[in-house]
Amino acid sequence: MNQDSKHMNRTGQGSALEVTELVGGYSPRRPVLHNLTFDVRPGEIVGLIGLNGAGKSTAIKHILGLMQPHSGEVKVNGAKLDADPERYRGSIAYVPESPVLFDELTVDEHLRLTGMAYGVEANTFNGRMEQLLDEFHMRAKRSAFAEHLSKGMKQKVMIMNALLADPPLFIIDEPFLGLDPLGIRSLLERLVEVKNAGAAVLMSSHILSTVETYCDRYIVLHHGRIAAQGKLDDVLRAAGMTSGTLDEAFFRLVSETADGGGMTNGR
Amino acid sequence: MADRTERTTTDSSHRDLERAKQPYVNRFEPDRLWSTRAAAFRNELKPYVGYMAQSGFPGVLLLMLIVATIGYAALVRNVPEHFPITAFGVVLVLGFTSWSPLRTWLQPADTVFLLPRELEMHQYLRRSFRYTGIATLIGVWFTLLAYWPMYRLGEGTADAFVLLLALTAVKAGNIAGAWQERRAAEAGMRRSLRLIRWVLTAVTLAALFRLEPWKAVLFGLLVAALMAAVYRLPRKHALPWVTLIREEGRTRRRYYRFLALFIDVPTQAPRIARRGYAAWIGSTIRFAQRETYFYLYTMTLVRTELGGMLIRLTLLGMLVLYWFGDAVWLDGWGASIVFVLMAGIIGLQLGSLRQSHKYAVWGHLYPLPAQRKIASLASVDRMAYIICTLFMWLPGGIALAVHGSVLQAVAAPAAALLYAVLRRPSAVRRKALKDDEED
Repeated sequence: MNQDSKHMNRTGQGSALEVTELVGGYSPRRPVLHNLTFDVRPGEIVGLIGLNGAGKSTAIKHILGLMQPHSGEVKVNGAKLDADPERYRGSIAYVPESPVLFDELTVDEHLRLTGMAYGVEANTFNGRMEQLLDEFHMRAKRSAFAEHLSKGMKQKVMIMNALLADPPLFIIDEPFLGLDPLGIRSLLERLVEVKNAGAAVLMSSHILSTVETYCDRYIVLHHGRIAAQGKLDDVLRAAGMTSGTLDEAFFRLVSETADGGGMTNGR
Repeated sequence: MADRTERTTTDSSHRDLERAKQPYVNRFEPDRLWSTRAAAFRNELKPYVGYMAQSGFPGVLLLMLIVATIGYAALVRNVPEHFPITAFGVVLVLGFTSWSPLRTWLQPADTVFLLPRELEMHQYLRRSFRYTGIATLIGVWFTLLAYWPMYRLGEGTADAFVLLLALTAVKAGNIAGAWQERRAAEAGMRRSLRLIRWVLTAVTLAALFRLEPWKAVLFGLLVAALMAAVYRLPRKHALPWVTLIREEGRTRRRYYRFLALFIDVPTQAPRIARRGYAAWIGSTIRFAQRETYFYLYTMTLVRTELGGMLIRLTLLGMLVLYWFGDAVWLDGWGASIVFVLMAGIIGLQLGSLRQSHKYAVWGHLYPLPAQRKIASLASVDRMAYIICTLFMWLPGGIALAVHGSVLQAVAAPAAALLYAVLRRPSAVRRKALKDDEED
């Protein structure tokens, strides 16, 4: 079922992720996210950037369906969660900010579990697993439990699981923390690969230089609102700049409104 | 203004008072630190223990104790001809004698904050030794009390006081031995030493229950000397911080897992054992989407402490049921009675499997219907229950069949099978659903 729905999307024109007028947060009286509208299309990597507490993780939780929107809607691969939960979930692979592994499973067994859960074909599975073990230099650790893996290795296992599932949409939350240089490189290479194969990637990160190099579009989240989105030019324009780096534009965008969100150019 | 100054002064003097109560601040007071931590743990558990007490569990326990006492009294009054009295005593007494836990209340952060005080820690640890040593010693005395009526029917000639003294000495030796094991730097060495200690303690107990006292004492002294020599072999830490912290964590998990049977408790990471001999089980599960949770729960059962406990219970059951079956106690029905008790404990323990992965985020993210998880839980539970109970019955059942009590040999496993197929899965499903609704 997954393979079919993926094909439909990768060849089709629709967005892999469509967030419309999303208002959300833990308590209905104090929304954290205000009217977020954005999409991620097949074949692109979108960078989600913002300060600590800007609402990136909350936005991701809403997309994953771990939190209920107060209003607005989220569509993944054309499906809403309550209408077609299996299609919705089968279309997302998630790499959390801090690795969440089962204590009782080895690296191999995690991959096997993910393969089963996402309905990967048994033949495809073995090939992909072996390839991922080599690519992320985890062959020697394939029988290790989470307890005996370093932070970076755990992160690698999470990434390998997401890549193994090979869905139309990847949601990746701050993936570089703890990864060694080789791991970062493998991850970025693979993200470009899955993007070229037609997958959509939403990646949140604080490493703005990497985000600038690898992402096709950016969403700048500030105090739960979208402060800017689009290509680098769009973000620069929103920051009132004509040229510069994402880093400079981001700094401008967040420092202008850091003191309570007042518009400074409004006289 | 004045008001505010005054309040600040009161606040700060109050704070100073609070600070002074903290055992680390001004000077290091191991004794106070130990007491503070022990009290903190008691307070932490207090609310949960309340729920446990209300649950009727103490009543059930009391009832089981009474039933067991009556059964035991009946057994003592009418001991079957070939009943292995010494082996029974060893199994009964060995647990409390060899098992020498150490509550140290040490935490991972202690390797940063207390480590510099390592030389002053002996006073702290002395409290730990006293605390757990006395508790297990009382356990030893109780098991001796329980064994005494049976002992007098056997070949042993020692009087109660000699046994009491001897067992106390064996217990002390075990506490000392367990400490040397903790100090050993390598896990493999710790395990081997522990195994040697348990085996030699078992043999010493057998000697004590069977031989003339002076011979047994001589043997015990030889064993002690041997162990003292063996303990000199491994590379050792002066104070095994990491081992003690791990042990403490394990003990806390045990408390919480027990309390989780009655009420939701903060989840703690389970302790994992590889169990290479059982790893093949996972690979026999079909690689298919619908088997995802079946695979996960099976691996959980194989690798967590729950699995270890079930294996130990099954082995113990096999041994005990073999004795009762081979003795054809109560016309062969005695084994069935003990079986019901043991199968009940296995069923109760197995019930805690549903606490695993209750809050795992992946359960919400996998593209699988929610009811699949509960269905898989019920089938893993059923399968494990059937395997454990049938294995447990096998030796006793065969012994009964050999003695010609065929009906007695098949009744108990048939009942267990019926229960496992007809009744148990729906009960597991109902409880899991109820848990889900409460969350």
